[in-house]
Parts: sequence; structure tokens; C-alpha cells
Amino acid sequence: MESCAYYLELISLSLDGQLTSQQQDELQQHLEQCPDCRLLARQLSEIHAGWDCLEEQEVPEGFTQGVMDRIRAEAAPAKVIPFRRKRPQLRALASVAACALLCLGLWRMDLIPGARNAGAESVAAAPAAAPAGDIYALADTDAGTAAPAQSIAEFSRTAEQNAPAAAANPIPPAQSTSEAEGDALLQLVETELALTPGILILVDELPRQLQQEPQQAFIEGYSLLVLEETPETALWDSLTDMASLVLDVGDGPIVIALRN
Amino acid sequence: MTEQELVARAKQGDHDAFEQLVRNNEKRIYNLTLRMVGDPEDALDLSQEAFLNAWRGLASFKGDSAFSTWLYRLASNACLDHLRSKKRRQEAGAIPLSLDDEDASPPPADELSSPAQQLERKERAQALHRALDALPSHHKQVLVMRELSGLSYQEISDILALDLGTVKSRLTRARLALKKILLADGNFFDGPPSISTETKERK
Repeated sequence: MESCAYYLELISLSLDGQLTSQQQDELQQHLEQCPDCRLLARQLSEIHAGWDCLEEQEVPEGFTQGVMDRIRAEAAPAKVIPFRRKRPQLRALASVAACALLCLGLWRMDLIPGARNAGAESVAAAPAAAPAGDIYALADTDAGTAAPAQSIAEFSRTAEQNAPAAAANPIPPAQSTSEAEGDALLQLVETELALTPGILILVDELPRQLQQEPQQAFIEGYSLLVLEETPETALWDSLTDMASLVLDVGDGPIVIALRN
Repeated sequence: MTEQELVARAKQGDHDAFEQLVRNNEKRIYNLTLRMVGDPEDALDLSQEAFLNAWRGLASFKGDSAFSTWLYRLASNACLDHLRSKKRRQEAGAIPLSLDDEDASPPPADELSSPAQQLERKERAQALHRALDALPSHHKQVLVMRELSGLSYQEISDILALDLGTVKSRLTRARLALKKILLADGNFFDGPPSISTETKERK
């Protein structure tokens, strides 16, 4: 004859409907003879039914969204510029292109102390370094149409004169892509260099062309390099090939962050 | 799309496919963690962590068990870790014991049951909640999985990597342990006098 311990397990199984008919008979017979087990069976049965009192809870609002947001933020490092471009260009719509130029001129001339000369030089130098006006090309640049070099230089002189007016027309911020490291890095760059990059590129090593360049700042695990001039196609391609992250922020210089 | 198809796509990096997997499993995972750890905020964090870990670990997920089984295991282990560390902090006096079910959404208004019955349900729920809190983790785990998540013995066996016999005996002991706590609590069993009479008559 089995001990009550054996029947205890049968009782538990019975709650889950897991008894064979033979086991059911066995249990039934035992319960008829054993008040202890009968009591136990009743109590366990009552508890089993009582679980029903614990309602299944609804998942809080935004649960899935929260999960997916974090996943997207942590997504495998990728080139996050949505469309691959040959060279960095102002992402200004045709209608705000003029404002953009004005503001860019403004930024280069007035807002960043000491950048005045560098800015002027690079505005003039850009056309020389590359096919005319690429870095400041307006609207449909893929087709290669661009403002001629001379008008850019003229524009920047006009910009100097029209400084106050332009301040009223801020460029809408370009869509920045969120990558946890990128966001943090961006903040560090802004704090450390006191400027907002137009494009922030994160690399683990520098392309050959830049390896002799002096690095301008060192912050928490990164060395920073600011490109004064539009990079040539080859350099730009190298950079984007090697980049683990490219953040397209808006207007401003290209900042390269080399992970130490 | 079947779970397997969604998983295959998610493994390729398809966010939308993974999002569907999240939606398909979120309620069960959330309720599992909620009943394991008690606190809704902790449960929320742990559930989200479980999904994140699933995403991160997708590359190594072989598909020899169902995705949801694997997910349960991730969630369940996260809960155990949480409970262990919480216990350490409680023992150090850092956290008060959590209490009743009042933060949870109230049961749907039940026209068929009287106010008295609804009150009884609420009291029972609270008693169960307290009892769950007092159970050791390994008992709580099987009980929540069986009674609340409605998982089969086989599923529990897969998730916990225990053999079937162990699952059955653990469940039996867990139920007995729970009964003992509930009897001591006094708010669950309001049974008719005949029960206490029978107790006195025990040989």
C-alpha cells in the first residue's frame, strides 16, 4: 500500500487533469479511506481555483515601443546617413538654401570666435579643392548642378553684411540619427569643442590621408579631428567605409572622433 | 507569419519581425515577471530586459526549442536574479517587503457576483499575493508558470531544463508549501465549520 506521499502527488496531478484513469481510480479509493488526504485534496483544490482571483494584468502602454526604441538605438553599428552621398553637402531645401548659405556664412564669420579667417578661407577654398561648390551645393546636388564658385564667395561677403537678418531664420535641424554612443559623443564634442558638428564620424582608425593630421582634442576615450575643408571623394569614401557611425547633424564642420 | 518565420527574419536584423514577436509574447512575459517579483515597475523593467536580451542573443538562438520557451527562460532567470539580489537588500534592511495587489488593475466588474463575492475574491487575491511573496523562488517559479501562465508540464520542463518527474514533484511540494502559508495567513480559507471539525478529529 502506497503512503500518503504518493497520493499527494496524484492529488497535485489531478488538479492539472494529468491523471490516467487508473490513477484516478487509485486516488478515489484512497480518498474514501483517508480523511487527511481528503482534507488536503479539498484545500489544494480550493487554492487551485483561487488562482483565478489573480487577474491577468494588461501590459503597460508603450511597452513594445520602449523595447523597440532601445533595440533601434543599440542597432549594430551602421552607416546611418539614410542616403549615401559623395560628399557632405548642406541638406537645405531649395527654398531655404539662401538662408542656409547666409547662416552658414554667419556661423563661420561671427558665431565662432577665431573661426572667421578659417571660415573665409574654406569658403573660398572649397571650390578649389573640389568640383565647384559641392560643399555648399543647393538642392539637387546628385545631378551635379551647383552654384558657381564666384557666387558663393559673393554670397559670403553679403552674409557678413546681412548678419542680423539671418539670425531670424534658423535652419531646421537635420534629422539626427540616434545611436546611444553617438548621442553621448555628440554632447561631448559640443561641450569640448564648443561647436556643433555638421557631421560626426566615429572611427576606430584614421584613413591614411588623415593620419598625419594633428588631433585637436582628446576627450574620454576619443581623439577629435575637425576637418577644415571639404574632404576629397577618396577621403570621404574612406571615412564612410571605416566609420562605425556617421551622424548627420546639420550645419557645421566635419568632426571625426577616433576611438582610442 | 509563424513564430519560426518571424524569428528567422529577426535573426537577419528585421526589426519589424522582432516587434511582432514582442507583441505576441509581451502579456505572458509581463505577467510572469509581475507574479514572480511582485512590483509592477520591476516587472516592467525585467520584462523589457528579457526581450532586449532575446534580441541581443538571437544570433546564438538555435531554434531547437520554441522562441517563446527561450524567452520564458530569459525572463524567469532574470526574475530569479532580481529576487536573489532583492532578498540580500531586504535582509540588509534596505527594502520594505512589498504588499498587496492594490496597484494592479482591479478585476473587471462582474455582474454575476455579489459585492460580497467580489470582496472575497479581492481578499483571496491579496492573500495569494502575500503567500507568493513568502514562497522560496523555486516554488514560486513553478507555481506561477503552471497556475498563472498556464504552461504545461512539458513546457515548464523545457524552460527550467528539469525533467518531467522533477517538475511534477516540485509542483506538488510547492502547492503544499503554499497551502501551509495560506492556512497560517488565515484570510484565504474561510471554510465551513466541518473542516475545522475534521481537523480536530484527525487520528
